[in-house]
Amino acid sequence: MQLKTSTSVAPPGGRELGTALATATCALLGTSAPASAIAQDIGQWRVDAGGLYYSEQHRVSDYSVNVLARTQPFEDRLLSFSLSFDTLSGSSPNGAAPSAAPQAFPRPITLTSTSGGTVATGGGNFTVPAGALPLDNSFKDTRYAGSADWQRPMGRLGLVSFGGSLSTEHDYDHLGVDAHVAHDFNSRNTTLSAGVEWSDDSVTPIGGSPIPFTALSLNAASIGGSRAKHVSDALLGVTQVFTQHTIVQLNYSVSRSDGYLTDPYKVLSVVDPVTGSLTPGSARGIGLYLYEQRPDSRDKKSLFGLLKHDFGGNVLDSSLRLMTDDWGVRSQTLDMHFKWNLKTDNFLEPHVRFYKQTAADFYHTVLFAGAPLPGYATADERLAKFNALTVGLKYGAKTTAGQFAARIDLYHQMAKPSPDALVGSLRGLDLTPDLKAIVGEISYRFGR
Amino acid sequence: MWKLRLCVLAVVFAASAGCANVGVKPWQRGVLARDDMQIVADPLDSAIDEHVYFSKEASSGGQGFGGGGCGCN
Repeated sequence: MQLKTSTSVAPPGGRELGTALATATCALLGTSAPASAIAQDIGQWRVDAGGLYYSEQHRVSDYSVNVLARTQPFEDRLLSFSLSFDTLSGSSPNGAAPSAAPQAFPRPITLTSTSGGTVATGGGNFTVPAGALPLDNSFKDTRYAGSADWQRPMGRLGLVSFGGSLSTEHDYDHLGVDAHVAHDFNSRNTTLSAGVEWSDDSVTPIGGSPIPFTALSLNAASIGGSRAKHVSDALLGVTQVFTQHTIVQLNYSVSRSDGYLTDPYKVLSVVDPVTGSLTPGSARGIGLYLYEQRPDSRDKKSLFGLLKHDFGGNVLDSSLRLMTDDWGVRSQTLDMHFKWNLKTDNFLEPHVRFYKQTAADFYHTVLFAGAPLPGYATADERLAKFNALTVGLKYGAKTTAGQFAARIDLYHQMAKPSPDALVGSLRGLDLTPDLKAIVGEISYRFGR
Repeated sequence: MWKLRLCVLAVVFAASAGCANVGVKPWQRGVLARDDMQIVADPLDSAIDEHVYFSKEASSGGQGFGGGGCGCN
C-alpha cells in the first residue's frame, strides 16, 4: 500500500507505526503486498489478541485464541507473527442424506487426548431419527497454527516480504511459504503487487483413507499412512488512491491444488431410484453408504475488488469477489462493513455479507442403487448449491493503552439438494437443512 | 458470463485508473493514513473470518491467499 510516504502528514498518536504495521500484516495475511511505509518507533510492538467462540446450531462448536504481533526491529524492516489455537467439538454431517426411516451407522473411532498420548476408541452403532440429517457426534479436534513474515524495502519505491506458516491437527499438517513484492508508481498513488504461495500439506485420516466408493463399515478396507496435498497460489494486484477519501484495490489470483482432496470421513447414501428408501447394506440394520471420491486436482481463479471510502470520519469498506473453478463451482461474495465512529473514541461497525455458489459438478445428495457409479461424487454440503447471509455488529472503544472490541456475526447457510435426489419418500424431507452459526469475538489491541 | 464480468470489471478499473485527476498529493494523505482506511483495517478479524468461511464454503482467498492449512470438517 502506498499510503505512507516520507512526506506524508502523520496523524497524531503514533499512527505512523500503526500504518507501517498494517502493511506488515497485509503481507502476513497473504494479501496484496504492501508498499513503502515509514515507521518511527523502532522496537515498539503492536499486539492484537482475541478470543473467538463459534457455534453451529446442533453441530460444531469452536473456541479459539488468536494472537497477532507486529514490530519494527530496524528502520523500514517489519516483522510479524501470528499464533492461533483452536479446539473444536460437536456433530459434523457425515454426508449421508436424511431418510424417511431411522438410520443406523457404525460408530466411528473417537480420539481422546490424554497425558500418555492419543487414545482411539469406537465401535457399535448410533442411530439417527427419521427425517434427521445424519451427524457424526464424535467430532473433536485441536489445531495449532502459526506464521511469521519479514518485510523490507526493495529500492526507493518497493517492498518485498517473505513468510511462512504451519499448522497441525490430529489428522492434518500444513507447511507453507510465501513471498510478495510491491512497487509504487504515479507519485505513490498506484501500487502494483504480486505474491506467490506454496504449501505442502499432509492428511492422515483416522483409520486410514478409505477406498473410494467402498461401503461404510467398521472393517472397511483403507489405505494407511499419510496422503499428500499441495497448493500453489499466485496473485496480482493493483491498489489505486482515487481521492483523499477513496481507495480501490483489484486483485486477480489463481490457485492450484493437487493430491488428496477427498474428505475421508464423508459418505453418500445409496437409495432406491423410485421409492427413495435406503438400500440395505451388508451389515444387519445398516444401510448402504459409500465413501466419497473427489478429483485429485483443482484449479481456482478469483477476481477481487475492494472499495474504501471515508464519509467524514466514517468508513465504508465494501468488496466483491468472483470465483470459479474446474470443479464447476462459481461463487459471488459481497461483503460490506461500515465503521461508524462515535464520539469519545468509540465506534460501531455493522456488517453484512452475501454469498452464493453453484454446486460442484460431482455433488450428489444421494447415489442410486443399480446406477453406474460416477467417476467422482460427494454429498458434502460445502460443495452443494447454496446461498449464505451474514449479519453482524462490532463495537470498539479506544483506551489509553490500545483498543477493545467485541463483535457478533450470525451466519445462515441455505443449501439445495441436487435435483435428481427428489425421488419417492425423499421429496417430503428436508435433505439439506439450513446451517446456522454464531461467531462471537472479544479482542484487545495493545498499542495504538 | 464469468469472462464477461471479469472484462467489464477490468475495463472499468483500468479506465478509472487512467483518469488524469486520480490521486492525491503527499500532504493530502491524512485521512488515508488512518488505521481504518488501510486495505486490511483489522487483520485479526480478517484472518478469523477467512478461516471460518474457508471451512464452510467452497471459495476462499481473493484479497489474499485462502485460509488454508486446515482439514476442516
